[in-house]
Amino acid sequence: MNSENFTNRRKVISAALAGGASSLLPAWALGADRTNLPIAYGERELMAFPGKKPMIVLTSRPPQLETPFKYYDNHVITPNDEFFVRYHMAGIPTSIDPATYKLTVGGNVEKPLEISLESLKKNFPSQRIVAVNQCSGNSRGLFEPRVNGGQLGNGAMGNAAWVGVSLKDILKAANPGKGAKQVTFNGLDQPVLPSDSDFVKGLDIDHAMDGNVMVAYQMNGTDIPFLNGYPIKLIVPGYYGTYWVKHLSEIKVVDDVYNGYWMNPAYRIPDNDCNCVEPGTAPSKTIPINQFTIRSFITNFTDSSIVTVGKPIQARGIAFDAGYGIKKVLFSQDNGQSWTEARLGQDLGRFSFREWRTEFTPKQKGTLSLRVRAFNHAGQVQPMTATWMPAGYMRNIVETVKVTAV
Amino acid sequence: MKKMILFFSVLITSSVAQAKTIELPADTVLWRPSDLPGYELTLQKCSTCHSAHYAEYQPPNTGSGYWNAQVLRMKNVFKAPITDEEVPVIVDYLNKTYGANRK
Repeated sequence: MNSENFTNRRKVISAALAGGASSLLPAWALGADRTNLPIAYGERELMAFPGKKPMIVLTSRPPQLETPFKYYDNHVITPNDEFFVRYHMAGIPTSIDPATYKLTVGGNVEKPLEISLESLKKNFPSQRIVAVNQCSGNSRGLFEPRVNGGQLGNGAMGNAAWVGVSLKDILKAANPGKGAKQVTFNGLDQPVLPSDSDFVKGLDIDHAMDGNVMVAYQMNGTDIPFLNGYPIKLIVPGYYGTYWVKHLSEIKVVDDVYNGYWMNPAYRIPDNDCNCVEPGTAPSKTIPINQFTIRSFITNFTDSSIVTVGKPIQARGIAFDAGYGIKKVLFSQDNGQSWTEARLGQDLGRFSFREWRTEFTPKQKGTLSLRVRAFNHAGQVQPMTATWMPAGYMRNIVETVKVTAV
Repeated sequence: MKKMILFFSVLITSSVAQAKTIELPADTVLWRPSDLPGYELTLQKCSTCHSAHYAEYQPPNTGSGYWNAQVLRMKNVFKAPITDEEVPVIVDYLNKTYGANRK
């Protein structure tokens, strides 16, 4: 299920034109690769944006790019040029001079700071964390019943090694005053037209000081790609990407809960145990989205894969959670009737993708529903049936890939 | 003074040389042409801030309630210059062209 959608398909342009899609295909796009998500209205372009391989274009302005799912089978660390992109507003910077770049730290602090990139790298201790970043709406297009918003497949996630400075050390240098309750984060991106809806996010002060939240200046050993937030980006391990502010330029310590548009009413989830509601209904009470749900994926099969009865074959993929750590991954070739425990790969840290592998022997001809289910050290487990919320966030059903055994 | 100017021009040159610059592609998906009056309005008012992908990919169960909420969101939150009279005209175009009625 999760993979067939991303199969590269080069469509014959003339056929698309004959199908009445001429308005979708300007002349220059002739020859562009296209692909299909396994959903109604799932046709997508594949285009190479600056610093990126051809990616699935969710929107071109502002850039929102999804990673073709097959890429996840190649590496446990997502290469920079395959990493998804998500902007909210088209007022994005297109030229940034690292020599003059400044990060300001202000609000309720004893010592307001203006930190250059050079100072950030030289005057603060550095740390490295391997962490998954995942869009809140990753997999939204797969919700049933369908929900509105960015119609993503499973490719709005990636795993990278981030190097930078612990936010705790920056805040300590500024010394938050008494009554500090939250910290807000602003980047260089802004609304196209003047409004008070700039993209600003807030975290509780205790969370901001936990040592894991960091200001990164490196991604996988090199500069952060422009479209991922060059030159510095907030890293919030285990939390959805909405908090990972790009082109970070302004940190403020505030005495109240920050309630700007992108914290409230945007990016809210139902305030109950399952963070879900009956399909078609609205939650009565909401809270800001926060930690990842636990997920796992099969990366080496798609719905068009063919396997041979009686012949052992490897299944593999990735699992991750909010940082409690993956405890085990179970694999099934019979739609969840029986399960075997997979081997886990190298532990790159509790916020990282964790590889899993297992071998199985297809038992009978026909469709085999391969399923994979992750468990973590906090007792969390993926649900066998999908939960639902109107915003389409936090999808984490046990995935199914339907291969054909011959 | 000449030395000063030279010094500063070198500084400026070197810092410009260091700047990272990107060029973004033109919109790829275009608004679906229509004879409805909301089409021209959409080209004028919506294209200022975003490409047509946002409407193009909404699912088949999308009805006028969603389009109305979005147009009002653009008007009220993001200050799109849309008058109260124009809101239903744009909603009508979106509703008859995308979502449930997309051809």
